Parts: sequence; C-alpha cells; structure tokens
Amino acid sequence: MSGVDVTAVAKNYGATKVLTDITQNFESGTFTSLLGPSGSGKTTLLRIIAGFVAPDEGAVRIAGADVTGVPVHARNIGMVFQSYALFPHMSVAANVGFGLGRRGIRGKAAKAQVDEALEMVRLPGFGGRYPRQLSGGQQQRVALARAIVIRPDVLLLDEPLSALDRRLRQEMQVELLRIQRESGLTTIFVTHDQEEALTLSDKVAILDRGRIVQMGRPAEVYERPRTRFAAEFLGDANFLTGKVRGSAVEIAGATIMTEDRLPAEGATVTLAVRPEKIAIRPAETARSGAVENSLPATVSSVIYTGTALTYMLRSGDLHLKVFAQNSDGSPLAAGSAVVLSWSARHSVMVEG
Amino acid sequence: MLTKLRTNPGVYDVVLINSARSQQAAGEDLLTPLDLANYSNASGLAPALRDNAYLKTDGKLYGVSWVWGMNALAIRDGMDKPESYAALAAPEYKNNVALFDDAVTMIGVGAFLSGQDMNDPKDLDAVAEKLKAMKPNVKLLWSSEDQWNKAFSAGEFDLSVYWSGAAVRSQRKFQLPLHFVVPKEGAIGWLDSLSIPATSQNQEAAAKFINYMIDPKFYVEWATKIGAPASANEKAMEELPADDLNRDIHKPEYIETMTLMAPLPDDRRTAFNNLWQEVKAFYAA
Amino acid sequence: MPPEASAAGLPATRRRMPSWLATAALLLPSYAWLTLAVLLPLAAMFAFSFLHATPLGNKPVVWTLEQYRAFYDQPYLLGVAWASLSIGLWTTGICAVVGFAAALALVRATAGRARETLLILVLLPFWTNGLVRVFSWTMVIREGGFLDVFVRWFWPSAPSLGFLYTTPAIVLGLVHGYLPYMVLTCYIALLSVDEAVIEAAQSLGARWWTVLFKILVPLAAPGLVTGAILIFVPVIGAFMEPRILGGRVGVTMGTVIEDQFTQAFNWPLGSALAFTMLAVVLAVFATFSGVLRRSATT
Repeated sequence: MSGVDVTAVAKNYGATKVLTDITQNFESGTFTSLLGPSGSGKTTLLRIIAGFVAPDEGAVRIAGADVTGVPVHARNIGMVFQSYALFPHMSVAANVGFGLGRRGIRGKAAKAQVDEALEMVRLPGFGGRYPRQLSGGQQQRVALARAIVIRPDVLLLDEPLSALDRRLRQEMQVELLRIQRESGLTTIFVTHDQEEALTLSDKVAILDRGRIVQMGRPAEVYERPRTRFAAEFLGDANFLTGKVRGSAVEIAGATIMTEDRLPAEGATVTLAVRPEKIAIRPAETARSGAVENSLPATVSSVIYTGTALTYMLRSGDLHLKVFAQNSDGSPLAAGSAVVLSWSARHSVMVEG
Repeated sequence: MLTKLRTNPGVYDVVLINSARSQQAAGEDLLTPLDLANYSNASGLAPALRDNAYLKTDGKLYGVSWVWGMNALAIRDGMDKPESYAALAAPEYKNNVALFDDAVTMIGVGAFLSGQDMNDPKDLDAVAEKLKAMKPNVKLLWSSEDQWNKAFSAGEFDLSVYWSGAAVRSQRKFQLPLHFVVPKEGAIGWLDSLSIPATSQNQEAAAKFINYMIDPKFYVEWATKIGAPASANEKAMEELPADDLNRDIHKPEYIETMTLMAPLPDDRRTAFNNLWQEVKAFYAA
Repeated sequence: MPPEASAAGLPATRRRMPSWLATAALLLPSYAWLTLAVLLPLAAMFAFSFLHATPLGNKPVVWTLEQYRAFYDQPYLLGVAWASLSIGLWTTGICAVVGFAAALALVRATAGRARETLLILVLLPFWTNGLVRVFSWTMVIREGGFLDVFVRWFWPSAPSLGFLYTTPAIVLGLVHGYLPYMVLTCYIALLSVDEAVIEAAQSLGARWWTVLFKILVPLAAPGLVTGAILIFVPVIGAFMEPRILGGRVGVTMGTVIEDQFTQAFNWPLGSALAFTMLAVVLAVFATFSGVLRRSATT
C-alpha cells in the first residue's frame, strides 16, 4: 500500500518529550493537515517523515517501504519550506530541474518535465528567471513545482503559506488544493492556521503536546471535537461543566441535553457548544420548547463587526460567547435579558 | 650619517664613519683633517688600518681607525678547515653550506674566486659563474645572526660565510662549536673610523674623546665586560687575555691580507645587487 | 541670497540638504583617511619608480623609465615572478580548501560558545607575531625537528619527513599565516546560507557532495573570492616566509622587492617591480571578475 504510515514514533530532546507514541496512517492521495500550536510537535513529526530528524522510537513507512533508517536524499519526498528555500544562484528552470538531475533525468526529458511543472503552478515561461526576480507568491509556486516535478511518494509542506500576505495566501490555498488534486499526491501539511487547515484538508490532525489528539475530516473534527483542546484550538467553544443527572447534564441550575452517551449518574462532564450554534432571542419574545436547550442570560457586551455580531453573555456564573448574523441591523444592547437556545446534538461532550 | 652631518652643522663633535664613506664626507668638506701626533694612543694602531687609503683625501688624514671586522668562513668544529673559498663549491659540502644574503659580500667572494678585485671586478660573468657553482651546496641564505645561530645549532649546515664578530658571539653566548676561518684569499674587511666634523665647536675635546676611545685600557674594559668588535689598536688587542675569543679570531696578520670594502659608485652597487639577485634566482630555480 | 534670508532659511536648508551632499559628507572622512594612509604613500612610491636612483643626499634627481625595463633587462625575474605566482596559487588554493572546510565545520557542526571559542582559535595566527610563527615552523619541519621526533615515536626507523627549505615549507608557512582570512570570509558567506536551502537539496535527492559542490560552494563563492584576493595579493609579495622557510629556494618577488628596499637601497627598482606586480594582479582580477560576472548572469 502507499501513503505514509507512522508507527509508535517518539522523539525526545533531552528531558523534553516532543512526540509521544504517534501512530497514524496518512492515506494515499489525501491531503492531511497537522494542526497545532507551536511546540505541539507538528513540525518535528513532519521532519521525522522527511528524514531530517531520526525518531527515538517507532518506524516510518512511505509507500509501503520502511524508511526509518533511510537518509533524506534516498526517500523520494517533495518538500516545501516556509522560507521557499529556492537555490538563489540557480534559474527557476535549474531549481525545478534539480531533483530530476539527481534522478538522472537530464536534457530534453528534464526540460519537458520542468515545463510541465511550471505550467502546473501557472508560471510558464519563467524558467530563465532567477528567484530574486520573483515575488514571494511566485517563489513559493516555484518551490512547489520543484517539489512535485520529481513525482514524490509524499509531498511535505512546512507552513508554506505563512510568509505570504493574506490575499496571496488565500489565492495560493486554492492553487495548492488544485495542484494537489491534479497530481494526486499524498500530502502532509503543517500549519497553525485553523482556517487554512479546514479549507484545504481531507483530514485534519490536531496535535497537542506531542500527541495527535484527534484526526478526521474537517467537519467531523470541527463538529465533534473529542477534547477540550481540540474544540478550543479549532474554532471557538463555550465549555459547560456539570454533573450527569439522568440523561442530561445539570449545569449551574439548568439542565442541558446532549445526544452523546453520558457516563454514570453524578459524574462530572464538560460539554462544548460552538458559539454560532446558539440562537439568541430577547427574553420577552422567546418561546420555550422549540429546541432542547435553553438558558436565560444577560448581554454583557456586543462586538459589532458588520456582517456578524459577537455577544458576550452571563448566565449565573457562566460566561458565554455567541455569534449571530447581523440580520436585522439592531443588535441587542448590553444589559438586555435574553434566552439562549441550541439543539441537543450541538452539546458535544469533550475530555478534560 | 652623512645627511645628518650635512643638515646639522655644529651639532656633532665626533662622528663614527665607515671607511667606505670617509672619502665622500671629506670630499664634501664635512670633516676636519687630523694629525695623529695629537693622539697619544694612536701609536698602537695597526699600520695597515691607521694609514688606510680610504681614510685619506688629498694626502690628508680624516679619520682615526677604531674598530674592524671581517666576513670570511665559519666551519663546524671537527671538520677540516677550508683553505679557500672554493670549499663553498666543493662536492664534500653538498647541501651543507649557508651563504650570507648580502650582495657586496657575496660578489666579493666570487671576485676572490675568479682572481679579481673584490671592489671592482671587471668580469661579473666570471663572478656569477663561481657563485652559481655553489648551488648544489647552498642550503640556505642567512640574513640575521639569530637565524644563523638557530640553523647552525640545528645542524643544518657545517660551512658558512660568516662575520668575525658574530662568530665570537655565537661561541661565547651559545657555545656553538665553530671555527672562524680566513682562507688564503683573505677576508672581506670593514673598518670604522672616528672623525671630527669641520663644523665642530669643540675640536680639542673631540680629539681627547677620540684618543680615549682608542685607549687600550678602555677597550679591554669594553671588550671583556660588555663585548666589543676588534680594536684597530694592536696594543689594545694584545692586552686582552691570551685565550680571548675576540683576540683569537681577529689575528693581526689578517689585517694584512684582508680587503677593505671600498666606496661603491651607484651603478656598480646596482650591478652587484642585480647580479646577486640573479644568482639567488638561479639557486631557487 | 541676502544674509538674513539665508539665516532664516537655515533650518529648512539643513533639512533639505541634497542627498549627494549628505553622501559626500558621510564619505569624506573615510576617503580622506584612505587618501592619507593609502593613496599618498602609494603615489610617492609610484613617483619613486620613475627615478634613476634613491633620492638621498645631494645627488641630482633623474627621471627615467628604465626601472620598468627590469623584467626585460633581468629576464631571470620572470622565473622569480612565476615562482611567486605558483606559491601564491598553491597557498590560495590550499587556504580555499582548508578554510572553506573549517568555516563549514564552524557553521554547521557547532553552535553558541563552542563556535565562538573555535573561531577565536582559528584567529590565533593573526595575533601571534609573524616571525615567531614562522620560526616555530622551522623547528617543526627541519630534519630531526618535532615532526620527525613525533613520527619516530611510533616508527623509530622512519626516514626524515623534514621539508624545511623547500617550496612546500614556504607554502605551509604562508597557509598558516593567511588561512584565517579564508575561514572568516567563508564563515560569513556560509552563515547567510539558509539551512532550509540545504534541506531542500537533500529532499530532492542530493547527497552530501552534491550539496557541497552545487549548493554550498556556489553560495559561498563571494566569500571564497574575497578570501582568495585577501590572501593572494599579500602572499605573492610575502618575503618573511620565503626567506626563513625557503632557504635556497626562497627567492620570490617579495624577497627581490624587499632586497631593493633594505639591502640594495634601490627604492626606484623596488617600487617599479612592486607596481609591475600590482598591474599584473589587477589585470588578472579584472579578467577574473569579468568572467565571474558573466557566469553569474548566464
């Protein structure tokens, strides 16, 4: 089988555990994002797969072959770096052709492949230029062409877009996705940008302190975060902690329903509720019983951003955040009494 | 020295001048003629030095000979003393010779070997031929006494063109096992003399000072306590201890056989330098 | 402009000082110093080179071009010049290889304090007296010197490895003295090479020698060229090392020129020879830099 398999990989730097017991399959042809804050080990994991870092334990298999002891140059990987890392003394064509040369492909055959790769990253005819003559976005496209032209078994992207400005980044995200789809390369993408990860990926892996805490399709990870960390890092969440009472959870006097399977009566659990899943209505117009969960609250403040509104609210001791569309142009004032409501399936039970 | 004399009239009362420059200074009327009768210690001066032609201009004496020395050969103890400078090219000293990196001295040696006047060799090609013949023997060209001492003590060569004064010091200070040898062709000599500038305001005191400088008593003190070049005063040399190295090396008979370095006209000096440069390049090639 | 107007306008003019004037004002001290310390003495020497004899005493000053005929009148000087050039090329070449390797090791294999300490060790030859440095080599490489003693420790009947008074001895002494230039210039050049560039090459399948010759050497080329110039120029003029370590073979343009100044007292010839060498070196560099520039743009 192809794709990338990481088995029981661990890496320590001195007493610092950078990665702990990582076992994960990156399916062939999929685009997987490694998402986590700095220090979570996502870059180290990528560098272990690339071969720049040797794991203390565990094994790495690329396209079915065990490459744990194989040096970088023999791994057939394509890698794109945050700093582009183009060879400044070589033309664009020479940069893109570098990996081909290492594989013994030279002359006409190489030129054809280089042209094709430049075509793919939409830089046809740029072969004669030098990196310093290109914009940041163009340089990154060259870096991408250089990495894919060798038809690697896996494409490794180390925060390749974070040096670009916002507009260019969005443009490149689209390009990246298109190129990945066209080339069908197994791609592993390191980022700390959650939006980027959600937009691009077939799968998102959330890393926290050297572990993959959750991996799945973006919607799955977003809608059903397994841990408090995952819920918090990917998007925003309100956390409600209370005790199990029958088939519901009693939180600050209110009874909150969830569709998740609850532990035994009396156990303490935390429910995560996404701010955009909560409907907000003035107390006087609220109709109870329409949805499973409702909670009276008071608006503490409103953040007005034009298209959307962010309400900061209090309900007893609880602090809550709610995103609302600015549909009628008259946001609720601070101090207004409101009722918050959401459906039971949006109360997601999370660990820790 | 001459420049100082020219530009500072009246400042100096006694000047030390190499014999090769004496006539030039006298010719420019920078010096006072001297009468040796006024110098009680002059009676001991070696006649060959005292009456040296280089100290005289138009029959008048302008300098009192004071100290002298020689460039000749030094050989490691226990080896046969060479009789001629020809040893420098002899096969038994293959890669075992050090030459003094000095154009005048080495052209002098070459002139001796080709039977010419060391101060005015007419046939420079013959000089060059003699010097180039030393190539297989030449291990190094020394330019400082310190360098010579280090190389000799490391056993890098056994035979060398060397200074008499340096030979004394090398034996005295470093106990280096060497003999200073003056071959049959004679040594290349130098002589320093003391003169009184024409502009001196204290001619009498100057004469007294010069007389003191050639006093054997002063010389013995100087030579034994501090170390000095050979004195031009034979009596002074005789008063040194019998086993004194300085006395041993600077034998009075060498004064007779040595050739003093003469004043060189500029073009001859340049020719000497160019020839020596060429010989060195030949050694290196 | 009337005086009151200029007084009133002073703050404004000060702010609006033309940029060329500001540049000139800023450059002035360094150029003044350069003129004083380098150009004037050089100009004096250049003037000397057209004299018949060293201008001393009351000899008449005679202007002539004869000194520049030296290579024609004394053809053996061509051999000497060739020997100097070859010593220069060997020294520069060895410095380039060793210096680049040392700089690479400093940049890639060390960090922090260890790197600083090693850098200082590399610079040590700079701070030792040149004469001491050269003489200490004579003790090591002469027959029966430290080198022989060391080898015979392991192999008592070893033949002497002493090579004092040979051209390699001169090159060794010069390499030792001038290596720090190359280490420093390469070190600075290599410091600016992005680690990711090397990793990118590896990820594309480059082995260490490909990384070295296709990435590191070309990227550090400015350092190598600067180092080579810094070394080559003084080395072909060096006289101490050839004199002390070269023995009989230690005749170079450096010693010939030095002899003219110290022994022969023929400053005009010394100057003329020095300027001839300078012209040759500049011509070589001009050609070389032209080639470099062309190869950089194609």
